[in-house]
Amino acid sequence: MRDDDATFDVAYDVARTASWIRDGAFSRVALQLPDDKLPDAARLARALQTALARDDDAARASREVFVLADTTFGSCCVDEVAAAHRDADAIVHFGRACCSPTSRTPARLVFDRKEIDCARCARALEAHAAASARRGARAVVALCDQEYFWALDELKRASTSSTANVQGAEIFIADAVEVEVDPSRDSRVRGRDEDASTTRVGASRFRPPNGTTNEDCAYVWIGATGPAMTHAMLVLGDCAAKFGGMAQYDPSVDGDAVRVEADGAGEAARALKRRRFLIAKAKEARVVGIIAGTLGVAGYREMIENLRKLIANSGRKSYTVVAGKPNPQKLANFPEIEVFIMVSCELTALMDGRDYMQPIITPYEATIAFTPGKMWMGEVKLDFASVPTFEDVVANGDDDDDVQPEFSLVSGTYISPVNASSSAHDADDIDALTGTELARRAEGALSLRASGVSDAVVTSGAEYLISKRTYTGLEPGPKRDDETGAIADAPLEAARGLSGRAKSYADESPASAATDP
Amino acid sequence: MVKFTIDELRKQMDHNKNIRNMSVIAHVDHGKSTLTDSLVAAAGIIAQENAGDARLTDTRQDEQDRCITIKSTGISLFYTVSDEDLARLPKDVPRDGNNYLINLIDSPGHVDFSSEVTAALRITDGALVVVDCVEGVCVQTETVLRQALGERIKPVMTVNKLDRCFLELMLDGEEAYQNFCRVIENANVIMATYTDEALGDVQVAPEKGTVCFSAGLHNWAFTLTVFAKMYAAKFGIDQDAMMGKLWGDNFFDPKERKWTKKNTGSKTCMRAFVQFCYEPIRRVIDAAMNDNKDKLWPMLEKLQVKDRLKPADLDLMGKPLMKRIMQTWLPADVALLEMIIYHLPSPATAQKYRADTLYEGPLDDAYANAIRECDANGPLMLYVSKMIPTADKGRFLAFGRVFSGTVQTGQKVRIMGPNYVPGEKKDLYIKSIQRTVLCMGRRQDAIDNVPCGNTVAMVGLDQFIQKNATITGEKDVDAHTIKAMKFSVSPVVRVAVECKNSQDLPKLVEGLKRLSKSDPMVQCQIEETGEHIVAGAGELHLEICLKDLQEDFMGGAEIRISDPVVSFRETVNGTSDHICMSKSPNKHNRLYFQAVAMDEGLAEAIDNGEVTPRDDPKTRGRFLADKYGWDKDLGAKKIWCFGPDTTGPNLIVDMCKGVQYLNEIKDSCVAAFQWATKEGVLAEENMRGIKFEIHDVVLHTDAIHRGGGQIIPTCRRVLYASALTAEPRLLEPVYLVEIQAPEQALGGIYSTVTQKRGMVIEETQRPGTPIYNIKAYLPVMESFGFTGTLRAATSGQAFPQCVFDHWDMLNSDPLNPDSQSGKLVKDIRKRKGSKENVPPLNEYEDKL
Repeated sequence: MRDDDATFDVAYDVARTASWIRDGAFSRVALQLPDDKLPDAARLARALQTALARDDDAARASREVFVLADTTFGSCCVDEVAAAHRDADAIVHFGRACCSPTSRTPARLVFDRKEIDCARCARALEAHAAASARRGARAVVALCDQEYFWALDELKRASTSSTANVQGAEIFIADAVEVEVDPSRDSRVRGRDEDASTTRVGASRFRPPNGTTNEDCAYVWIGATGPAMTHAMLVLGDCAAKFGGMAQYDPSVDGDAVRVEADGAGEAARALKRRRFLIAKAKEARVVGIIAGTLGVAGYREMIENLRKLIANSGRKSYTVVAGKPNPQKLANFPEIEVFIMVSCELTALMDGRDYMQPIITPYEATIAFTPGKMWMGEVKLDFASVPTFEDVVANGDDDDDVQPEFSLVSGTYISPVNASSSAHDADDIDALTGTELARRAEGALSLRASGVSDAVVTSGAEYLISKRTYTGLEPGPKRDDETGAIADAPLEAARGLSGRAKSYADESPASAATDP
Repeated sequence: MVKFTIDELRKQMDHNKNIRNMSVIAHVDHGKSTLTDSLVAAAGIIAQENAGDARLTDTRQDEQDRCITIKSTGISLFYTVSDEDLARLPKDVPRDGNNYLINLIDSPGHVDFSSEVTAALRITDGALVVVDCVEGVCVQTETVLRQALGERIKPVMTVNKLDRCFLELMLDGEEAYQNFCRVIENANVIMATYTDEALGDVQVAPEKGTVCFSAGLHNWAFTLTVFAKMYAAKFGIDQDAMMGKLWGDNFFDPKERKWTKKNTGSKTCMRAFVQFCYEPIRRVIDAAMNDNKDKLWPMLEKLQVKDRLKPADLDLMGKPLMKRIMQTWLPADVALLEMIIYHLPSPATAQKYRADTLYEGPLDDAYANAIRECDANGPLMLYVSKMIPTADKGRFLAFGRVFSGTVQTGQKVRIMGPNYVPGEKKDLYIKSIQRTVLCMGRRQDAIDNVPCGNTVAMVGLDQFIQKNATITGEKDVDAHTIKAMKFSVSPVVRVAVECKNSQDLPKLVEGLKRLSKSDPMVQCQIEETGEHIVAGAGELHLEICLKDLQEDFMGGAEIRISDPVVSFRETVNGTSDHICMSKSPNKHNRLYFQAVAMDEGLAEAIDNGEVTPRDDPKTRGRFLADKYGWDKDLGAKKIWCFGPDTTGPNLIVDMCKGVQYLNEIKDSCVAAFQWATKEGVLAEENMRGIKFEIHDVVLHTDAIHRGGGQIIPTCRRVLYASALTAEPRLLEPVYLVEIQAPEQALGGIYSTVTQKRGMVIEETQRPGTPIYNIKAYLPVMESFGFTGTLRAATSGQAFPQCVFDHWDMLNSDPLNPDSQSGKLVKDIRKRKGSKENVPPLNEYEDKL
């Protein structure tokens, strides 16, 4: 039993977590576990409390450790909102994390652990480095999945010792991000980047070895195939492409060699192409929905504000929707919205189910789609810091007020530019200024619908409801008499109905009731 | 050398009675461009000697290299015709002086480029139909004739390549006559089929002067008038009477000097056409070819040709001599011009009856009237039918026809795109025309303004017009558009293109934009998968488009081109074996649907616009009841929607009665239906020919629980479930192939067609020739490389013309992964990146 406890403590990193709580002098600590780990929750809470019990009594009295049962957004995100309900001043997040910075509450991330044979892995990397060097790569960057972060130091040691005497590209093992997140100290909050030369990919970060750039490196993913790897592939997309895409070493499967063609490479390439379509589609949207898919990731408010400005500036209409764990059912409730922008943590940002009616794009993609003349070159940027602010976009946009049709790749034809109806084009329209624009257009739309034309362009949700929906409720307004203009269907004066029992109402003669047996 | 100036041309433009707008149309290789050269030469733009070889209207290098016309090219020609030649102008043809302006458009003959023909026909009033006298009326002749008549274009015909009769086939007179007769007859049969009452009698006949006989390569041609004129004096009969005698069953015996209606059997008795037209020509050609100058010169003297020959010509030998003599004796341009001026309508005449089919708006408004009257002072109505890339490749000229009013350089105009809706701002731009120019084949000449009835090209509008547009004056806010063109081919062959270097992506996108502008038919799109797709009518069309894309529109940036991809359709072959039910995610709503295969022919009727969502419901109800035996109310009131894209050949029909809240979920169901028909259940291809019936709906009483979020995904699932249970099938596109080849090639053709899963449906011998005409169905999927294989199998004697014909059902079950359709489905799904197997039914259907 003691043995078991020891593995348990290691698996959940109890000792170090306890000391973090102690150092931070947190009094109410929330534990957040993914669904599959919830059975361990009670034991974990006890173990932590036992570990903390060695502390002095005064602090212990006020210290409370509790478990969060469900998360509002993805289980990868630190759920500050749920924790705030219990007034927690710190959160410990277990399991796979998206490592997004939190905005209010300090958090500690405890990753899962998986076995890895570091020596063997280092040998495989070394062979791969030699092969990559022959193809011109100057360095090999190995990105580890979160589950192997515990072994990073050992892996580094193993690889430096083995490469010392071998010709080949330098092996460089990416660091893990800080596991302790403190919004008051974290540099990534509020757009300040840690360091321009550091690249962050998911939970890993690295700075290419001296004198090389990201493009000179070959990349290896250490870990199993999964969303994290796809994510890394997409983010590094262009850099990795130079040396045949990202290679993969899965410690649980691969023995001595790195697989040059990673599983799901085709998948990633296809996903990337698919983004192109989604962006092309977004370019044509006039009504945009912003999904607030997080209330925790630092900078989300600024991001939403930024997007709203950007959308308004491009002549589009935006609506903001708060939806934890969006699914097709939830989003299909907004048929008037033509494209959604997902503001969320990095791991959940790339949503592309074929089951969704509307495309869902990331904020970075939105800045491209909504800036006329800008083209997407295949880069995937998911952290908020890399999304240009509204001011940047406007400053860089060419101010061409000449209204020209745009070539829509989705339909293969020309379409009127999105901002045509809102910008200078309508300068002669006094209606636009007096605010009766919507009413006027609705009228037009209604008459169009009467004539069988229903492909009128919709520029706002309200317009959609009035021009595209066939069911508009019972009677939209009081019916008026054609001649007098008086309200024709005014409620009638209350009249006395029949009373008594249905078999024979009070004013019915018993005789007539009797004929009916 | 050029016999006219732009000023003269411009002046002539005002005399719209003396203008002829015409296109030259024919099957591939029947000699359109060559014949056009004769007319161009007569106007002095190229030398007579080069006529027939220069092919001035083949302006592109690849057109010259491949000897095939790819783009239609316009040229304006100016002629002064003598009074004598105009003397016999029919009385009902108005005339205004002796000068004539002919705006001619030479069009391609290959089926793949039919869209170019469509664009050419729209802006002309008459068509010169060229038919090879040996090959006769071919598939493309029929296609273009049908299109011409549909646009109310009046045809005249020329039987071309007469030289082959004399030199290759050595036909004797009677054989040749029968041959010509048949060719003309065949053409007339087609014209009778597609005739339009407003156009009047369009049948062509040599005795009426609407058929010409020509040899484009040698630059000579004649109509019966030429000979009638010659012999009328001799016989002392009226020229018109003589014309009548020169064609048909009229025989003449020179010995007895007697006309008969039948061949008397006497040796000297011959059909008048043979006696007076064919034989003299044959004798002259024979004499010239054999250098039998002793015999030749007297003949020529008699024909008054010799003194018209230049001294140098007299020393020529053989073929050049023959060409020279025939050119002088029977100059092609005289015969053609006569036919064009006499029998093709002027814009003033043509627009009277064309206005109805051209104008979208009310036929009694100012614009319709101005078009009808061809009024140069009326409001501007101009239709741009195609965009022509300029020499520097970056810009385009908008090429079109002024139907009323006058278009000016610098004029501010309203540009109405194909999606313009009167009163809306969509697809409408107001812009100034930088310059108006005249198209002169390769060259363009600036011109100040162009009045109605003429073709014109405009500079500076290319950013606002993709393929075609209607242009009116700035103030003409209530003008409607001119009807969009209807193409006879559809873009069924698709390839995905990507740039080799990802940095070239902007170039690719810009290139696709330009490509789609440069061709009336090609489609450039981005697929759901994110691939850039270029779709064309056939392999050749696509090849040319991709070449243009890479070389002209992308500045030579390298691109990678995928194998051709064929798009399929998903359909059902029966009725769902049970009523399918799906529950909404909240389990509070249930939808009961069934899929039914659409009645035979209904999908096509929807394609052709016989049944559309915009029809009056009552008329539609009656039509469906009469033709397909539908319940009248069903067709009138219960069709909720067409799909995909609200116009496609699938229907969702409400079969239930008295269901509460049903109309509240209609929009959600329609949205789901559009989505499901666009991405079918089998392979995410469009659905086709499926009628979805709503049998019952159980909804939660609380509106919040039956919102779009609950209904749309559910409805999509139930649509998929009902399609899966109704014997789902794939439809593949099928070409109609027409092949002409000599008898010995038949074996090779049959084996190639069979090997490619094709089916020969018709085999006819062309009477009097060893040539066979074969029609076959060929799956588009198998057509790649078909031309090459066929040529190899027939030692180059067979040349196929493929045109999309119909969708054909693949009989195997696509749900069985080992069947042919199953494999296809798997491939498509793989390409699109979805799960390889079709999801099982229980993913879409729920149990109660």
